[in-house]
Amino acid sequence: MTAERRADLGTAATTLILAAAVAATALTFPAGNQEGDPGAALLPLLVAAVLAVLGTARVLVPYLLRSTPTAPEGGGDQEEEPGPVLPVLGMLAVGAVSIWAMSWVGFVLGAALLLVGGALLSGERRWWRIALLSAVAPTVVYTLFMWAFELRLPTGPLEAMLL
Amino acid sequence: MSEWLIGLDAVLSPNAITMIVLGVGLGMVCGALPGLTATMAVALLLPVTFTLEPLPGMMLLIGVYGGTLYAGSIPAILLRAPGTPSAAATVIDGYPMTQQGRAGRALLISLLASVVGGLTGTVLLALFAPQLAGVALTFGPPEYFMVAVLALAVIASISTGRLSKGLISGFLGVAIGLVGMDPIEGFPRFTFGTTELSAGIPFIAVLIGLFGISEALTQIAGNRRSRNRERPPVGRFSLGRGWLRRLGPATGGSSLMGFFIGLLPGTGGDVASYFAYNETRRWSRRGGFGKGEPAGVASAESANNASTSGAMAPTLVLGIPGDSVTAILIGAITVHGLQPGPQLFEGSPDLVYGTMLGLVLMNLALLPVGLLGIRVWPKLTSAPTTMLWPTVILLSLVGAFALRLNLADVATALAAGALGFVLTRGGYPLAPMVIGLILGPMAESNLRLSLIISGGSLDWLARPIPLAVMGVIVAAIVVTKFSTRRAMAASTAGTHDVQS
Repeated sequence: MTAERRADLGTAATTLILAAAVAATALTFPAGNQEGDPGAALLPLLVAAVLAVLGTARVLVPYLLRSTPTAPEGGGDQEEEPGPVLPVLGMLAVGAVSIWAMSWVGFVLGAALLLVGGALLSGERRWWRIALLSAVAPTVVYTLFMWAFELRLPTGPLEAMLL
Repeated sequence: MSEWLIGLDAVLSPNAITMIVLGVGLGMVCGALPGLTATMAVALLLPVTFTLEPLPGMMLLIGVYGGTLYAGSIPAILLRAPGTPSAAATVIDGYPMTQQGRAGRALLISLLASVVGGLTGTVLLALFAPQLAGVALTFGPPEYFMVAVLALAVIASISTGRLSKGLISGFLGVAIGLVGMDPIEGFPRFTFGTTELSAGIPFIAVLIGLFGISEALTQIAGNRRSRNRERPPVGRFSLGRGWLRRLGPATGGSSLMGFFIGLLPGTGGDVASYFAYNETRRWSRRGGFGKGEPAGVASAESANNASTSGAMAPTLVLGIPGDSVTAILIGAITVHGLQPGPQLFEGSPDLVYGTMLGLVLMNLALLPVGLLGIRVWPKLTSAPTTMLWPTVILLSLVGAFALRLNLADVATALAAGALGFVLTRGGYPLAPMVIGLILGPMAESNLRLSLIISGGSLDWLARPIPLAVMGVIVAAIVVTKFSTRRAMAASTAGTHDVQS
């Protein structure tokens, strides 16, 4: 099974779960108060029904046709097998930690953490490049947004010194 | 006429002109870097427009849009790696020209064809859009509902070979748009008792996540570092003999095709350029297509840039995005408390007519900026990407924060980025999701209003305009299917030609 097919199956299964959850919640919505108005549940139920049909089709059709797709669909412009997921999971984790950290240590340090992690996960190994990027980029972005766009980014001890 | 003068006055302000030139320059830098798409570049710069007046903000984004679309051809021609999806058709003849030592000529043709295509599209937009807006002013809820259905139907039909994936993506977008107050009675839906969600999931944070972060994550997973490829000499930056006779018909015809394909919601420069390329090849008497025919480059590039004006028409006239970039432009307009649609033509002529005139200026700016940098942009194709993608993610997160100065929006953007990554990996297109996110609330409120006005009856479906729109839906699906099939046939043929 290709990476695309795995992701496709995962998305289709999630779509089915989402459809069930949307339908179950929408059934509790009240009917419309005005004559002719079907109420707040109309669109959610419609969306749930369509997603359920499409999700089922994506999961079942390849098996019913007894052919598991091995080549990418839609024009065959994705010839290469996509890269590993681990760096992406790492990037998401670094992103989440950085966002959390920004509210404590400020934008510059939080952003530096994101850039160091991101550069390492992207395959950069030259320490001076990573150091330069993580020092320059957050400072430039912070200064630009503070002074040029008058936008207050999260402030910590370093930003207090810059101000 | 007075509206055009108001627009001209607004767009000739130093602020607006500066933003156009800056946008074109930034767009060219982004387009020349393989992987940085027009949508991502516009999404990254969207937060910058929050602090600008609406028209200069639009000028910046339009400049980036046009600049990126042109510059996407640079890595396509030099490396066989299109900088943007819409430059993929340029590869077919552009890369063989590089192999033959004629890259300089291909780059120059690409620039000139982009300018001609962009200007042709803008003239057509200026001719049609005010008339269409006049018609759209007579629209009521039934008509708007049918137009939203039309757009959703076309989006589904363009997903040739993956119809169900396009539909799932579109309806997932509609599902995301369900969160918040229902549009008629204000009943909270899927808010889980939180006040933050009662205003809905922030649209711009989702856009930034889907087009900025998810693409960066995809690139990090692919770990696409620039390779040190041996490149043939660029050659002379000249057009050669008899260029007008050789390239004129292909450029003119493709510009027209590009504009009209761009009009269809959900299509983009990629469909337009492949379609125009294929038609040019079909009608041409020359047999060198796929082997370095300059008319092939001119055709793909002119259609590509003309489609931007086509995509602007439904955006300005009806508030329905023509493609993913115009979906972001809608976000840039609504953030200033304005609503795209026919009323905007009367309420904000400076913005609407200024935008159309700004498209003319943007295309004119492409020429000097492109010529000045024509020897510099190719060098950007070998920029290190290991530091680029983390920086893109950082700028995306800052953009999401800038909207409401709220870290929850940053988390939303990160989550949308993760969702976009998974969907892309599964082969699901992202543009239908954004268009579904915009069209879902529009379709719901207009359907329910139509039912309330008619007391629950469906008689309004038999009114002339909804009936006509139903006819247009059928015609649009047929035309879109036809054009997408042709485009994909050209794509496959082109790939084979280049490989052989």
